[in-house]
Amino acid sequence: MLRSILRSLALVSGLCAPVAAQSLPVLEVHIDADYSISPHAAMAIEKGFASAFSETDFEAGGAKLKLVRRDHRANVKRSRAHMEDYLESPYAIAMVGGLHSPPYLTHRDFINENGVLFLLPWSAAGPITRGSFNDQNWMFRLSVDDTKAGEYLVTRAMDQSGCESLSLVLIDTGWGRANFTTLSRALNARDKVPASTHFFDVSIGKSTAKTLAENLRRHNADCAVLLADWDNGAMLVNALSELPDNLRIFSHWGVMGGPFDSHVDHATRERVSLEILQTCGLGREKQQAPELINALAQAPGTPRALAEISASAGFVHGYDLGRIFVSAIQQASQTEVWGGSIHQKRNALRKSLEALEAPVDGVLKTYNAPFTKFGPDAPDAHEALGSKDLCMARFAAAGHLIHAE
Amino acid sequence: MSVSRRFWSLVCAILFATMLCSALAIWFTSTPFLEANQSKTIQDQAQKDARAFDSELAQYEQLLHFVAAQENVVSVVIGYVENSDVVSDYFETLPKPETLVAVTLLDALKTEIATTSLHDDQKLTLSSPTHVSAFDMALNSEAAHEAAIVKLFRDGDEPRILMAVPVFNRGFAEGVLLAEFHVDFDKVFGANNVTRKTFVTSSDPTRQSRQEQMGHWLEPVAGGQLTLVAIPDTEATAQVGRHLLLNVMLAISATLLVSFSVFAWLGRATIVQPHKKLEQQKEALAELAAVAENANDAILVTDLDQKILWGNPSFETLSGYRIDEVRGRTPGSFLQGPDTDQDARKELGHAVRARKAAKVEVLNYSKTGEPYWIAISLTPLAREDGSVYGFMAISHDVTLERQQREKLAAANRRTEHLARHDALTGLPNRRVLNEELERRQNSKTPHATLLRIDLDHFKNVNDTMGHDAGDHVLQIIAEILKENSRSTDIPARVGGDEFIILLSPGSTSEHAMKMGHRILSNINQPRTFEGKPLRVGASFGVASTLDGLIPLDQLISSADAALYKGKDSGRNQVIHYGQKLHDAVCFNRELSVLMQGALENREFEPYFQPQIDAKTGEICGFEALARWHSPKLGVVQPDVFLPVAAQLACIEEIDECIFQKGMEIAKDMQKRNLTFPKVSFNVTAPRIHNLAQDLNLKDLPANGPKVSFEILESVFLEDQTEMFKDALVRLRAKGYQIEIDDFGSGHASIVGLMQIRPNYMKIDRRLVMPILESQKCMNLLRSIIDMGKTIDVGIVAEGVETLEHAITLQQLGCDVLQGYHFAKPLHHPDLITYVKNFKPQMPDRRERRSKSA
Repeated sequence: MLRSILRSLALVSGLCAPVAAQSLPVLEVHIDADYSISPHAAMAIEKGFASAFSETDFEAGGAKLKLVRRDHRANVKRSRAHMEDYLESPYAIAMVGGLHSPPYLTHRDFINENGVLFLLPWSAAGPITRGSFNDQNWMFRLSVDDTKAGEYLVTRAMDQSGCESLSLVLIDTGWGRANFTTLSRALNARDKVPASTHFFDVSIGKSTAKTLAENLRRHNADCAVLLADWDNGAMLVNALSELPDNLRIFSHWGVMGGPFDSHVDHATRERVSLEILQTCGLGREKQQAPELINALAQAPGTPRALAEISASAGFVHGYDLGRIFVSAIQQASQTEVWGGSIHQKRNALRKSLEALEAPVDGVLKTYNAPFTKFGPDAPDAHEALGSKDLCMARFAAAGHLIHAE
Repeated sequence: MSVSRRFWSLVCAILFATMLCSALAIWFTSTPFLEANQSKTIQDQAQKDARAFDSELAQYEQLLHFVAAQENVVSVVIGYVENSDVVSDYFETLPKPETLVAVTLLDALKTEIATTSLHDDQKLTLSSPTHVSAFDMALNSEAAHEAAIVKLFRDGDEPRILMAVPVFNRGFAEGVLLAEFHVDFDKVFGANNVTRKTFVTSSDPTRQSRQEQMGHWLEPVAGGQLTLVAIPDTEATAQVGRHLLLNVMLAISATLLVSFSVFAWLGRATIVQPHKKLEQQKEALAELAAVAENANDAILVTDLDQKILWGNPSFETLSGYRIDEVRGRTPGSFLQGPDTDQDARKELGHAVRARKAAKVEVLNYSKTGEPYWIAISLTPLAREDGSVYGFMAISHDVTLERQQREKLAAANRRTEHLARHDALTGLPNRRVLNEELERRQNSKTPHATLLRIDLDHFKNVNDTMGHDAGDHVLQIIAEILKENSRSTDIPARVGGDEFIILLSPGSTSEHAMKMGHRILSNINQPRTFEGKPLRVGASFGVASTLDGLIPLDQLISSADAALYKGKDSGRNQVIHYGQKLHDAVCFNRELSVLMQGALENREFEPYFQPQIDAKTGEICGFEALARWHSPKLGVVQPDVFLPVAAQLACIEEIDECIFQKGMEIAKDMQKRNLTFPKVSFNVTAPRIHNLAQDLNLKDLPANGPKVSFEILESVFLEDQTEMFKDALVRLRAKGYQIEIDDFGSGHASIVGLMQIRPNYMKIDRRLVMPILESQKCMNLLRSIIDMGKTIDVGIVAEGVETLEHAITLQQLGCDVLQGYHFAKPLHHPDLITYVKNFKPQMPDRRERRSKSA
């Protein structure tokens, strides 16, 4: 049912494109995200971009911007197909990544080798933005960077929350495995090792979750770091909450990709003192930032608060990245190659992103040259956010996130 | 045609017709059913095969779904993990059907991610539109557990099943697991007798329509994705139908046969047999009517009131009446007259009233008034239900027969009287007596008392006065017995001069004794016959079971014993069989029993009494005398056991025993070199005959003792036959001597003596013993001695008790002396001692003379 609704939404994706812009060339931005399993994240991202594009009436660099949904359904291979479609398309100027890191971890080399310009507002795996081909790195992220997230989560758990023993519960994907490295490293820096590490497959059932919880209990950890997508995460949190000891869970934000809150009730969330890694958008809302108010006002459906948007981090990141993207197009359109082929346009845009001249005001912050040229000495060159931009959130009883102090 | 044959023909015809109709009915009614059943059978078989096929597919599908649902397979399909062995890992470890050829895992982009070949290294690729179609359909599945996509395709000639199941990642088909299976329809569906062939095809409406027209049964399988085609084996199903029809017919035929058999059996009992019986009765009646009409017996049929209904010609002949005259009258009213026996009339009347049969003889009168006897058999005539409706009287003239019968009865009565009575005296005979004794024996109180009478010296009457006098005496005795006995006593003549009176029940021996004395007194009355005085005596023996000594069957013998006791003790007296006599009889009986064993055990021993030569005083011989060495009684003397031996007729056996033992002792004495010059044995006349004929009797040796046989003088009187003389001659020829024993006690004639010429005469001791006191006896003895010397016969004197006897007898000229003066009879050991110590005992005559002088 859900799938058919989404399919119809895809058919009308032109809703984002103004009907009057017939004379302008069209530049498509393909949103390669999971609209099926984790639709909240995809929709939040799309809303963020749409809100940002709305500010320029979906026009930039002399072209009409068109958001095109490409639902990869968390399937790495579909994502690859979408990339190939993008490369074949004469209108596709950029791709926007979704919640999942695996498609981009798996195809990072393909992306860089073939020049698929990727804007990543959510996927957090550290290695994604740290690859290149012929010194070209085509992937730009405005999101949590797991190279920072691992350290941040360990700091939050061990240093700020007083956890003594930390178990790691990680999805068995490249994303999970990358985080295992960063989390282990952060613990090692504190002369500790994980109390236990548990990898789980991408599609587990209740029995697997229960078995994993039982296994975890035997290691007597008082806290756990969880890296999961929303449905696996919900099953695991429910299973872990049933352990006799009050385990506290610090979760990566992967669980926010879907209706996690409706699958894990508030009492359960409270029982495990569940905290979710977020960027500090919620904090900005708390600060009543005018950029956020503006972004919400431009967003489809005109939400009044982030709480009305599921996976609000995706909206905030999408908005901020959308604004950077528009600014980069505008900057690229000033170049001669902009009138060239779509490939030339992509390349020009890539270069603009790496050398954005004008500061861009975003919800999270004002971005001054958010990206620079990537190189071995500049591993964070394609990261728009840093450790300072990370915060923890908790679920309100109503199910939305609230900033955690 | 007989009733029975008609009946059975009808039954068989109906049975045949019923079976034929049943067969036709079953044929017409069951054919649609059979056809429907055949269709149903084929349908069932097809459905069964379809289920088997679906079950086979379900196994495949279950396996594929299981693998497709594995998390790592999903991870591989959606590209999270690269693992080209993920499929083979499962299929190499999971139990899998042998028919599985190859499995391939494809992602949503139709890229083969992992593949494994399980059969013939055949790789599964999307090589055909069928495969592509299966892939597409599976990938478009909306739920993880939707039915697998199943396709049928051919690899060359071999049919194969292609099965595709989607690999779902959290609700979305992201890949397909494709598998190929061999399929052997013959193996899956197996042989049966309903379908000729069963196979599966793709579900193609056009082809299905064509197959349905060909009569093939179609059954959807794999959820309708394929179609099972069952080609009916019409011949087999038709054969099953025929078998079914045949079995039904057989069952119905058996049922009909049983039913008709029961019907026929019952019908035979209720229809045929009564019918046959009626026919037989009809025939019998016709025969009876003819028989009655022509019968010699007169037949009358009356109603219950004895009114004549019918009579045959014989009746008219017998009675002189015509039936027309007497019809409606009762026979008794005109046939019977004043002399007709009232009892016979009553018996007939009673039979009529009781509706029973009766047979009587009755005196009738003919129309002319002439009486005649008839034997009439009156029989009630009854219907089948038993109710009597009249009588039939069959009679025939028995006048002559009756007269003859009466004559015969009179003759029989006479014969019977003669058979039971003595013709001379008119007294009942022994038969009557025995019957009465037997009757008493069988009665509750088996007691009787009888008186046995035997006339003394009756033979003398016959001999001296003639048989008429004897018959006269017997008639007088009979009269006396009748007069002195009660009417309830039975006086019977049981022998020539023997009578028995069986006293009436309850009479004791005292009654009998009194009766005996009374009768004896009457008998002793002096009488005359033809002017000559006639004196008759009688001896009586009385015995009674009431004395408690004897049972009834010993009554006569006990009375005999008493009678002979009377005879022995002087006759003409009445002796009661009392305790004393009973004891003697019992003793004799015991002796008899013991004697049987004594003979077998040779318990009789010879005792030897020496015989002394009167001249020399030397032993000149021994007389062997028999003694019975009874283990129970001790040494028994001959006067005790000889009477019993005589009764048992075993004297000769005793003599033989004594003879053999005596001869052995003689040999012994000779061996001992002891004086044993002669031995003499007492013998009876029959033994003389037997000895003479005994071939084993050896000749006497010349050097042995002499052997002599002593024969009683009385024997000579009775047995001087030629045979007897011849026997003596033969014995003498063998060297044996003959002596006459107890000479003087009998009536031996001189002539007889002359003919026999014995070696010795032994003078009876009764003549010897009195000689010292009686001159007459001495004179008599002297005469005998002289006679012996005259005819040259030696004289032996027995009973030499004293020396005086010995001297006197020596002086009288006796040759040999024998008696207690010399020795008693000696047993063998004593004999040896005696002989050894013997010294001549006879004094020299001269010596004695001088002494006496």
